[in-house]
Amino acid sequence: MVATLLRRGATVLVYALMLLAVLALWTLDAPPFIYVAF
Amino acid sequence: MLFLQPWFWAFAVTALAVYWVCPPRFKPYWLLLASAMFHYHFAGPAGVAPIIVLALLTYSVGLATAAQPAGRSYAMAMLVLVAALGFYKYSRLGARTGAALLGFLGVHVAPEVWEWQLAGAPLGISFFTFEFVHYLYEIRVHRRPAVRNPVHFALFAIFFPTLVSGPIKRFPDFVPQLAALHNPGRAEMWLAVRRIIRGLFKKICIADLLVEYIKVFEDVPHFNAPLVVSLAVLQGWRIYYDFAGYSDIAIGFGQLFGLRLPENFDRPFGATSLREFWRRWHMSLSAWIRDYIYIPLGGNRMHRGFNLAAAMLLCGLWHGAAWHFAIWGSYHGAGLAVEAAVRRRFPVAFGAARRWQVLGWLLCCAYVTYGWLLFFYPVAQVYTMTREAIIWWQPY
Repeated sequence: MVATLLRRGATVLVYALMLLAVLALWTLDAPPFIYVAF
Repeated sequence: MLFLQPWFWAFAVTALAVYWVCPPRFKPYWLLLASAMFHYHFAGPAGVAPIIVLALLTYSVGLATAAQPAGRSYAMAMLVLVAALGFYKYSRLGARTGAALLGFLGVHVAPEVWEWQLAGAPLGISFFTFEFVHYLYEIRVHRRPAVRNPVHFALFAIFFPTLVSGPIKRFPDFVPQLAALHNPGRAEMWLAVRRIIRGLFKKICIADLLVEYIKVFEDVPHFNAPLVVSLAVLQGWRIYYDFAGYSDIAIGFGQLFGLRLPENFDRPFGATSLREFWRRWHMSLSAWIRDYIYIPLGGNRMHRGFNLAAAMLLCGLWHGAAWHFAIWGSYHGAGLAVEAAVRRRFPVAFGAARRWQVLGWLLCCAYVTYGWLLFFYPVAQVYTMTREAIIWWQPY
């Protein structure tokens, strides 16, 4: 039970940090997706 | 930028919110309306019109072929689809190549003759063409029933998460899901959100940062071996994280609409052979090339080397209207042909023994990595990079 809660908490934390990094680096001048050009 | 534009996120949130509250019988209509809005916004009327024509042709010929498999309309429609792709995507390359060849023979062609300005290719024309060709081929050759419901067919054509860059869908997997559209459960929704965050992270935090390093590496007066190797490795990682990120976002949005989309990547840089690499890299395209070019040409049954070369040449050219893409495809075709010959002669080298696996992985990594230079740069530039790298290694 505790292990499951810890695992879930860790997953949420990791994804929250990833989202934070995404929002911090988000720019409208980003290079276009490579495959969109195809 | 599509998935990174504020318009897209406002649109996606609205489309999802309305979809989730829609009664099940209205879901396909709302999804189609939302997809049409997305298509129109990013492609404009000039980009939408040819796709509507091709979709109507494919839909009607699909019905006709299902009713009368020996009819001529199938061949005509295939020809039109391939011609449309050729016209929109490759006519300028053809004209430039023709003018260059004539110039080589001493015949000067005025630039205004070959620099004719065609309208830009409709957004996602390659993906539309591949899905339509697959649709007609499956009906004709594998006798699959045609999609009768026009809304389902239209959704197969323009389902917005996959509209621009795939993954390339197969209608026998996708269309049956449309008959039972549903909201995702909580677990499915959490998986979808995680997938989208992973996709955005791969694109924004890895691929786009790699671009900054690549710019620094490209901006040097002379290359040397470590620089060329680093550049090739960075380009390989960049294209992987860019496109795997895109695919994750597309697949994640599919899940939010309760739809399962095909996967595109399966840890390709862990492959221990080129054959395995192509089974793990852009899987929806590799499978398409295998099923609709390689196997119809004869596959493993006859002139296998030629089939491989032709399939990979077309695979390369599909990536862009430039000769370095064709060379990149042929480079992989040659690698696959040599590997197949070695596999026949020394099957033990492709067995489960650890040392062979490590050797295979190293060789595969080296071959694929050098290939990224051919993918990203014109041939003359790759030649210069390679020459300067080799000179760097030679003792003075």
